[in-house]
Amino acid sequence: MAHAAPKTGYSSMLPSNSSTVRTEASVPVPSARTPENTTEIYTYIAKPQPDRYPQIIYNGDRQNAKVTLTLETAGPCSVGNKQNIYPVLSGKGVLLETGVPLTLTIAKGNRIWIASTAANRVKVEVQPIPWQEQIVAIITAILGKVGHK
Amino acid sequence: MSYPQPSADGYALNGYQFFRLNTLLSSPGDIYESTQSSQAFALGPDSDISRVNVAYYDDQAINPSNPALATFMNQATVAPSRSFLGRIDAQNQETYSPSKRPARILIWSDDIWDPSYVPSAAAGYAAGDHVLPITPRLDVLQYFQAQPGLNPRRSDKQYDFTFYEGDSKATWIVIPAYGRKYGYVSCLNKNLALAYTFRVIGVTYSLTGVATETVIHSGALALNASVTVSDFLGNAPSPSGSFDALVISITSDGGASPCRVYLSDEP
Repeated sequence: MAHAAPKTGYSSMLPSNSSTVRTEASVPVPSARTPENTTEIYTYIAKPQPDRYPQIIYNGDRQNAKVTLTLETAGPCSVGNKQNIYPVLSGKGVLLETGVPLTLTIAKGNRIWIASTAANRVKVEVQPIPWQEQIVAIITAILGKVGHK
Repeated sequence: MSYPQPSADGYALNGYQFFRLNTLLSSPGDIYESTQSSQAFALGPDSDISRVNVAYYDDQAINPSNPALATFMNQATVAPSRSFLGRIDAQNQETYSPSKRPARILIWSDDIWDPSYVPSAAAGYAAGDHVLPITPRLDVLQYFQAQPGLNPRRSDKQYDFTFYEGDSKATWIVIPAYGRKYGYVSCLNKNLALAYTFRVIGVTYSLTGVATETVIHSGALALNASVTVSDFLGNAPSPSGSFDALVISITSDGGASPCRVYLSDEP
């Protein structure tokens, strides 16, 4: 599949190899400047918020990832993919258990919110799923060819 | 104890497995707090206080006969015979009622302490005698991770006294003995020339300020003579089965009379 070349002299904001042909499906290759498939390991400190607005513990805007959360202290902490997880013990989110890892597969564009009534330590491990990107790209390309024909 | 008290948050955020509230009491009405939730509460190994109250937020703790008097506060008592396993949440964003104070975990002594206690004349106290009170220590462990089981037995305590006011007036040493099931007192008279009356008294404090005194031993102690008093705990009138304090009376004319007091939770 041939990609349309960017116009000469035009400073394109599109990632490289992106197609401007509307009838052809394409997926931009990952940026060579900034790595998108990054493994992250850190300890997050969840704090009670006076306004009861949850915090974002993981922002999955850039990649599909498997995120493992492990509460190290007594809690209570709850997590969810929506902002309305207060009150913490209401069941709107998922309550973390001390010492028990909770693994979530987060699609690109989703976030994990966390709410807590006390200061707590949460171990965070982010494992990217790069093959998911490739599968999506291949499927998109196949559909593009089928649609084009 | 110095204020502010240690913060449980600091221990939790620094990766400790527990918060230890280990402090001398500064008043009979001391109330301590924790803003951290807990997976277990237990008495610490160095605690003189044998019964500690723990209060926490419970939205079910209402007065069914008068909901307007709901406190949303529940409490438990930890002691050498019983720790508390299970998650207690510090609901810092809720409030107790009617105080409207943040619903932190509150900790205080259930044992009565009278820092101004002075032995009675019936016990042998005379004007001019010296009173040396040993301040009770409160030692509580708050665990941040679940514990499979806890043995909250306290460490045995041993006190050694050697030097006293050498003005031939009695020195009354008040030693915390809350919840102790066994103890012995051993003393050797190494005065320069003075024989005196050696006393061991069991004290039970009361809210009225008038303590109950039980004379365990009262007898003359000659020069270079020793005395050992033991096996006197377990028959005391206080509810815990022991005295709140042991008082020993020693008179010195400048001599150094070694005296050992040993207390244990083991009967």
